[in-house]
Amino acid sequence: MNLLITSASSLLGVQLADAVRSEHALRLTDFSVFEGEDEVIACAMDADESTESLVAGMEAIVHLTEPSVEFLGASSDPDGLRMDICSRRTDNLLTAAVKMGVGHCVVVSTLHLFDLLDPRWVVNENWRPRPSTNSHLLCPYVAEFVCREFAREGKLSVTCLRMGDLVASIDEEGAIENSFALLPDDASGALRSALEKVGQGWNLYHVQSDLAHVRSSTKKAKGALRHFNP
Amino acid sequence: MKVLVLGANGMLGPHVVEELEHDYSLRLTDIKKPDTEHEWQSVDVSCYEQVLRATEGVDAILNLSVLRDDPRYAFPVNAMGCYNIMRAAVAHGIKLIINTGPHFTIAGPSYTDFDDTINPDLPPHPGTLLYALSKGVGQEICRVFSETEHFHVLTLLFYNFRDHDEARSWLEHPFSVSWRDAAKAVRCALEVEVGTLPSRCEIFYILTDLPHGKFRNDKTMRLLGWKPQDRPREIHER
Repeated sequence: MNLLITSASSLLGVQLADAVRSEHALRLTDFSVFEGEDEVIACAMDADESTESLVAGMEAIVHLTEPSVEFLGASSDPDGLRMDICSRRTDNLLTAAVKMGVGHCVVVSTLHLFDLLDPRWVVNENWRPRPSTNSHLLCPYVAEFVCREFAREGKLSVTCLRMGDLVASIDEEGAIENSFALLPDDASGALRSALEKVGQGWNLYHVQSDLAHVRSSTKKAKGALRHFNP
Repeated sequence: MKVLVLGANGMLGPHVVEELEHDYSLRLTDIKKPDTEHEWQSVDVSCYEQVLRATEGVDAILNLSVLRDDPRYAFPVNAMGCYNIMRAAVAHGIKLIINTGPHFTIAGPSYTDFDDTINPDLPPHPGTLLYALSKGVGQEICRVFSETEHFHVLTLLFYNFRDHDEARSWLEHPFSVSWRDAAKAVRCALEVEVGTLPSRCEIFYILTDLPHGKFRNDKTMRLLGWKPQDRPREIHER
């Protein structure tokens, strides 16, 4: 299918694009264009025709809530920039998507929305998020909030993947202690499945690799996302 | 007590200033200057540096800023504005923020098209109307900050406003409130003993006391001690 990936220059964007490029025709976009192997379309995601052109012809969108380090680094107020991306620009993206007939958006959020809970609890999709005021965590929560209203009104289907932290291997330094660790293959499998399985309305999954001390149950994702086999 | 009023030159601002000016030291802000003798700063709430400067030295923040349906500026004013206010309140140690918004910040069409007895403590369903969603995001940002920061955010939600002596239109808008009753609600929020409130983030519907049963204002009367004085006159004249 024709697939748009936002913040495609970010580390996660590059990883996820690689995971699905053999199965889908990709259009990559970012707020600014940086050097890389792929062609990336620069789009500010303002409320104008440029955002409508960006999504025209797409069947699905993978919307990343964390922009690239390079883009954030160029701002005098990176916290405010994150908030703008996750609120106004996310609304603009979905408004354009609805207008241009895009049927599905996969929004990639974070399992760190539960950081304020006692880490001894194992959470799942039914738990209320407790984001901190740190913009890394508050802003993905805001993006979820915006996307959920579009799903609630049936304007398009939204799949929300709350992902753990990408690690190269479970044995790498630090990954063993990270109870939200997520291997690249597991992240890729979850996204590939999410693009195949389009449920109506709002579809929420917690995605992390199997560890001795997981913070989140992945039972729902394992049951619904066939390529996700952590 | 020094109170910063953001959006002081809007529709509600002048009524609030008239209600408070004899009892509070006011710092008024907006993007356009009103005709006023009070301390004044030009502030765009979507600019953090301007909000940070405006909040210096105040005891409470009253956010009356709003932009309803402009796709370029609704989110910057209604959502980013709240984010900037929260960050500035943390930076300056301000303990009380009064926020304002429309009723559908909480209860959008998924409630109002189906239900009555709508109270302000429901899970927010603003829907995708730009005004509602951008204000709903702002409100949610306030809630998250109030859960970890040691300040109170009291949000007053309105449906519509009417002049207290206006005639027929009250019957078409029974969820309205008079301007002066709305301004009194702001005073009540500033003066409530916050230690008596259930949490650091409380939301109140500010509606005239009528028996429609669509929205509930009893929480406002019970916790803030607010009692609307103005009711549509024609109800008593029919």
